[in-house]
Amino acid sequence: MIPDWRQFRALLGAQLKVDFRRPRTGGGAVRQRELSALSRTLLSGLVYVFISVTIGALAPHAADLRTYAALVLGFSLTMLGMLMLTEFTVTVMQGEDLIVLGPRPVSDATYTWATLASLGLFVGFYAVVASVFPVLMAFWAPGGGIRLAACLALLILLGLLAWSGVVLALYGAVLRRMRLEKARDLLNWITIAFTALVPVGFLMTRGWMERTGLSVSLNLGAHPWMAWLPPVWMAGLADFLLGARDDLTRALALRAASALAVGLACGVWALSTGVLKLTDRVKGAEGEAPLPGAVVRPSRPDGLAWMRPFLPSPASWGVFRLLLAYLARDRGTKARIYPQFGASLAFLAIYAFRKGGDPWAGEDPGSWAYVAAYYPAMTCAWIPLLLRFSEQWEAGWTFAVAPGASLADLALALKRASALLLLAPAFLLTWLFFAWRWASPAHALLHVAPPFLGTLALMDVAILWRKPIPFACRYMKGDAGTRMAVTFTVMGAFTGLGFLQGLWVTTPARAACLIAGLGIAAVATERVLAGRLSGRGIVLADL
Amino acid sequence: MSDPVISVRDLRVAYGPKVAVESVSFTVNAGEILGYLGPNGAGKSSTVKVLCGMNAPTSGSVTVCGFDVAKDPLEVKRRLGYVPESGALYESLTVQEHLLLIGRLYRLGDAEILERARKYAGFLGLEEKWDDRVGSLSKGTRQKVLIAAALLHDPEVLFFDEPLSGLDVNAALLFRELVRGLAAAGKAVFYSSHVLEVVEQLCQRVIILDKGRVVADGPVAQLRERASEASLNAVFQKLTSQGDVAGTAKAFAAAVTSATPSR
Repeated sequence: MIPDWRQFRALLGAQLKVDFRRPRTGGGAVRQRELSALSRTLLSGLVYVFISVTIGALAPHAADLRTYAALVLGFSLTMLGMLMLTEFTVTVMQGEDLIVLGPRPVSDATYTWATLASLGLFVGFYAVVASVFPVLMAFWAPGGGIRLAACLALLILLGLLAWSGVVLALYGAVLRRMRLEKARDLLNWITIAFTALVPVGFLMTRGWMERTGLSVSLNLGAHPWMAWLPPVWMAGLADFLLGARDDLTRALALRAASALAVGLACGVWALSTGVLKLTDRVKGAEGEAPLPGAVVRPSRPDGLAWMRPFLPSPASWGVFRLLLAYLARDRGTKARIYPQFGASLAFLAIYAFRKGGDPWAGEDPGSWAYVAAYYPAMTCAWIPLLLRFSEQWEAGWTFAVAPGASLADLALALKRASALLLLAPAFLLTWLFFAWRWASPAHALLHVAPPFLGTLALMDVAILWRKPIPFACRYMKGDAGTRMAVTFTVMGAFTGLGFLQGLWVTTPARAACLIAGLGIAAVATERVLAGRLSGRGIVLADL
Repeated sequence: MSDPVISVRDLRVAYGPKVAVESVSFTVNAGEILGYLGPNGAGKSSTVKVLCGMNAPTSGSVTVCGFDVAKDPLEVKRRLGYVPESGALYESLTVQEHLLLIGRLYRLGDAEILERARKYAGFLGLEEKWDDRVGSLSKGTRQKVLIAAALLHDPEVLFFDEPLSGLDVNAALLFRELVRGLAAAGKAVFYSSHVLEVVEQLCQRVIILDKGRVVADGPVAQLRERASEASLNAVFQKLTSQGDVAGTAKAFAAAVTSATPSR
């Protein structure tokens, strides 16, 4: 259980260097154009700064101290929990550095403590970035001041420790009970579930804003279910620590203290029951027998022949089949892609719950009709960027030596394959959902087509920006932050389109105009993409 | 006679229903170089991983330097040096940083690590690459870094798994003589490779593995004599071959040339 401190220092130093330097890969090719991992971390930190400034700016508008504390703690702890779970799964569960360390005399305790420390410093960086402004703004919150600021900082720290305990216990529990690959799968599904929690948070905030105008208020009387949300418990604890002693505050504080205690106890329990020894499982994973289903029955090629006209060249057809295989079989790819749709499903569920009407039948659809239609489309816009990553990134050299694969060919293949395999099913699901809700497939089509056509155009922009070669890039710590930065950038474009649709598209004729305009834009951007990349072969520096 | 440095008895390594190594027993003494051969998938790497304490044996006993690999893996790891075929390097670190990290993991002082590492770098021609990141190095140069890292702590026993991978002719010659010198100094050497010529010249004794089982064990000369073959290559082929290699190669070449696509 006790680490070797000299080895711990050496490992932590090396891990931090590895985390904050971008490896140069591709047969010695120097990738000067790429940002260093440190720059990317700082850049993605700006996104958190932006959100934290938005949250902090609410301080003067919060109805009371508890509301502001709930906002700050809800944002900080949800974000940190998500980061912790994602990065823990990526770093610890992949165990790439155990190939280097396997034959070295490093105990499991030393290795795991060093990894946890490096992860803690990494998540801690984001914790500081995300929390410092809202904590400072506590001076402007009702009833706020230095005591509230200190209290928020303390609760964020305790929350972070409790999260770490929960993640450690979760990791221990799944590794004890199942094979490593299955454990990775389970953690991925937990991440999906967690992703779906984020829109619930949005819903909460939105609900408060609707009912109280500019002022944000918890209003637990009107929404008693909110008293079961952990950020509200934590806000109650902050209130309690600052002197409130009413029954509700005491009940909330008790729930928060219990949750923190359970989280910390989970960590202590995980450590005391030898969870650190379980890294052996990660080390020996390559020796595990293949899972049932690892032997793949070849699919009938004629079953997909109808897609061939969309991917005419042999190289693009090859990329399509590669994507199909990875999306069906590769755990890493599935883990990166499918969780993206968790929030989309949650938004559809929220819309169904709120029962919005059909705008083409003169009813009020409510803003959630737009969120539910736009979010799945928006998610697909950055999918090509995620398809760059793979644990088998070294196989990317194949594209550099393949004589038939030009960069334009590959980029178009990636876009079209993503559109066929992900965008089209997402569109169908969303369309059918609205057709069911509004009992009119035509109305649903008018509502859903614009965001998905917009995505086709945005996919081209995303591909031009990054020029992704499928599965030729190594996934590294901090890429979750970059993804978030891209998410917010794309979100800006879609918000504009959503407002245009909501405010201007009030007749079917206007909807048809918008759809036609976006269709033309999608064709135009694809032509620009093809034009910009045509004639370019793939070189190792692209990988 | 002193106890063997490596002692393997009835080793079995299984991954679920798949058995990689079955009933393998051998010993390696101080100063001895054992060649460990076998076709792809024969179980060589599975054996090496168990001997280095990276994987646990399914059954059987394995001791290295008197320590049970399953019970005292850290004691075993302190005493061994391991050169894999490739891959086991932090690409974002420089050569110096990587060697410093490895040395610190063996609890050596920084001054001692740097002194040894610079000396080894000089022998291996790594001085110019000292501050280069490992990710920017050629395959052969990475292999040299792996060799330097494996020898930093002066291990009692050495495990080589295709150590010549990517090395140029001069470096390979140097390495071959280095292994001889280390064995002469009393190190036990376990040498797994496909390059039979090197094994033939270097190893006093050879074990040939096929489908997880030992099919031959003895000095090269004895194996040649027993199999009535002139070279280790021929012995290996006789014991492990699936059929007529020359005929298969001829048919393969014919298939390639007849399938040439239009350009």
